[in-house]
Amino acid sequence: MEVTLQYNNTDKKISTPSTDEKLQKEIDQLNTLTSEIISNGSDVPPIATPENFNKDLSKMIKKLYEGGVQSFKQNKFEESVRQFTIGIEMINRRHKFEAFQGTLQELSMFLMSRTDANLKTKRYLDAFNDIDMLLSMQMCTPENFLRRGVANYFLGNYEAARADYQRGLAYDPNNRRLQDELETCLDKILEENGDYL
Amino acid sequence: MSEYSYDEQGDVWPYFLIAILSVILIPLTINYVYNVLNYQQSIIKINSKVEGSIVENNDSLDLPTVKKTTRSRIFNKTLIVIIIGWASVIYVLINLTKSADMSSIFDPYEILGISSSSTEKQIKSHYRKLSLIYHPDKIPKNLSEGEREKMEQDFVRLNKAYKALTDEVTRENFLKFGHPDGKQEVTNGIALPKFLVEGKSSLIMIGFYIVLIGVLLPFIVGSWWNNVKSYTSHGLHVKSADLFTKFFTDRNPGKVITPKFLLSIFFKTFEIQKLNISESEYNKILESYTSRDFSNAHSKTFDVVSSLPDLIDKFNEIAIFFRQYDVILVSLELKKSIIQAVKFTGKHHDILQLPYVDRATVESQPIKRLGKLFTLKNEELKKVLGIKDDAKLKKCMEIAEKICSLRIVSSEFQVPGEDIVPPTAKSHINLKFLVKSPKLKSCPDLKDEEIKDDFNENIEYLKDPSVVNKSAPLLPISYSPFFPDDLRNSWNGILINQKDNKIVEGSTIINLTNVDLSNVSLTQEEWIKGKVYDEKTKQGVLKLNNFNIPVTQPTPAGPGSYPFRLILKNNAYFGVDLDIPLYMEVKNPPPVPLNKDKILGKNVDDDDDSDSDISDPDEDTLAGALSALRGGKVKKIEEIKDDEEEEEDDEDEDVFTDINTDTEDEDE
Repeated sequence: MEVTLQYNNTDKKISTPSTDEKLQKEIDQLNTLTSEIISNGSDVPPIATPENFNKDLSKMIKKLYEGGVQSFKQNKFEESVRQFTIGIEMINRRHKFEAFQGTLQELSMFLMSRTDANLKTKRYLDAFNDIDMLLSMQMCTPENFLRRGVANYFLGNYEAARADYQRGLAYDPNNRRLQDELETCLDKILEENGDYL
Repeated sequence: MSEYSYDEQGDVWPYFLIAILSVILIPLTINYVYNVLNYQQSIIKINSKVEGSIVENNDSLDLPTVKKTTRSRIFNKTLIVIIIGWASVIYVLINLTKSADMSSIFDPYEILGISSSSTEKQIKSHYRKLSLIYHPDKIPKNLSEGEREKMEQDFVRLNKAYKALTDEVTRENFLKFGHPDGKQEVTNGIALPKFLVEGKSSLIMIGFYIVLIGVLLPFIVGSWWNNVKSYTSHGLHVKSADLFTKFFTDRNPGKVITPKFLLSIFFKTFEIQKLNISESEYNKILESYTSRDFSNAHSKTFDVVSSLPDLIDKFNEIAIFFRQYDVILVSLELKKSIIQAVKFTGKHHDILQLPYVDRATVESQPIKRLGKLFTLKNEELKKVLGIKDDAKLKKCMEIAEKICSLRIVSSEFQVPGEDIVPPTAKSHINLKFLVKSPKLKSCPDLKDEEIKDDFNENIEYLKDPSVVNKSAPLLPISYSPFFPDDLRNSWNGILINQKDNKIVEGSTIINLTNVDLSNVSLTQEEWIKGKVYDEKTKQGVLKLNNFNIPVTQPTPAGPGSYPFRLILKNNAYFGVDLDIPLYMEVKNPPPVPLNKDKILGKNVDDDDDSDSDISDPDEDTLAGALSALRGGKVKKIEEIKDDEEEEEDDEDEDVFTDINTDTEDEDE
């Protein structure tokens, strides 16, 4: 594959006339990384360690998270979703050369909570997207499978919901909530099939 | 000095010709007959022999499909070649072959007309009898000159034969040279006229040989080898295999696999590329095929559609090496869509796979499962399916009730010859299931003794547990009126380890090919009240099927409960897939003191106590280590939970306490 790349000397960015999506994305990523290095002021980005993790930002994020949880407890779910979304936005803005480990931890916390808030506001597709991402990041707890199961259940994917509950039970066979939800889901599958209940 | 005699008189070349003709004709004819016979075995013929199968195709249902562009299988060019070939063989046989002179071959026993085990006495008496007939003096006077001469010759041969068996010298000659007169002149013949070999035209022959050996032979061998080299052992082109492997190694884990995405990969394979179509044509072909619109079908529709299921199978064979089951599940679903000619996405596949249904009507209503259809009245059915004609509706429902699912009665891990699953053993999964038609409701309540089997007494089973898989009849050809090829129905699947969410290492695609479908025709009464069919007493209606899946990995070394997930997807029908959780309960076998005594060579009676003393601490330490292991694990899980749930525990409860009320909201 042959592509033309242009380098802009003033903002140090690469651009291409090609419309290839994959290429465009890769160039965007590259540009983000270069601008991060430039703004950092040194030739080489600092080594990512938990020590140089931006603590100020962590405090702000933590505050946002607590705010979101507070709204959730006061049954202001819309508000809670908004706060969590802002929090995720902020996590996204973190310096790209910071320790990813910390970022990941924050992100998973937010995604989990936003899923709950989304389930409450009945935005099941959004909830599903969040929790699916979380699970693909290998956050395999029984509760996360319960969350995805519920999202799948309300999206009408009963078979997928059943599989999620069962996988959750594989981690914790005595989880009451999973057992109850699985029972509800199996009944729903039977009902959908016109089978006797 | 030429030692060869040429075929100037044209005596021998017919044999040469026949030899060459038959080398070509015999394989050709066998191939042709095989094709014709296979053609007879259409879906209707095969399926009408299988109980519970759907005996319909696009002709019997009067549905359009992709027409094959190939010629008739009986009257084609091959037939003409075969007829002309055999006709010329017969012509040559009748008219051109002169009876070969076989007199030089000498067998004294045959000439005398006796068996080779005869004694000398027998030979003598027999010779006397014959010479009385053939002796020149005894020949009747009224014979013609020719006949007289022939009889005289016969007498000479008779004499020679007799001498060969009795006289010392002639006997020696016979044994040494195969002829009583001594060494015979040996001639080597060429079944070609002389001018072709030694005349001026010999250049033609040389040229012919040069072409044959110098050009044709290398070309044939070369292209054959090239062909062998460019396909994998599974019959996939190496370029395609390379493409698939690259896809799995470079796969972006964040990208969700969709049927459309898989199709775009398949488009790049050699198998599709060689059809010379553009990607937009390819998409258009699939679009009109899955809309069941055959009015202006693209001429390559047949090739594209019929090559995809095969590509998907081979794709999955590679996927399983990478243990990525999500891709396999999507591709198996895609394969079904192609075989049933339905859209790749949507939730109404179960109903859309039926004939005559109207897509728009079906998609606009909430019923999605076949079972639900059987709770409706005819008028409602017409509304749901969008079928107006009564006969068509009847046919449609007839087909629907034969799209049966598997009702699992028991599923467990087993080790042949053991009652439990011991550590590090070779295990298999035993599935026992009933075949359930969607019109049947609920499930019979079977007692444990009814489903128990006695395989452990069968030596064949102990050697290879998968022998039971073949006991049921082969599944029929799938009902797939729109798909241009006939495909055997089967359930294909994978075994997933729930802990790492990957396919069990080293496994292959599981294929369930033999199922007894006869229970499809049961009534509701028989289904619920029925007893399991017993081989010995011939009592009972419920046919219990057995399926054993070998587990490629040995059972874990420590006792405990190990979760698995088994997914079996039908290759042609929607809504009959199987997805069940399985738990492998590994236990340590109870100590067997008798064996240890034997090993130690001790007296059983005396050392009973001391032996148990030895085995007890053994057990203890093992169990201790294992429980410690387990304890460690449990702790770990709790730790993770604590970390994440610190802030969350209370809100979690908030979310999930009222799920059930939410369900009711939705239903109302």
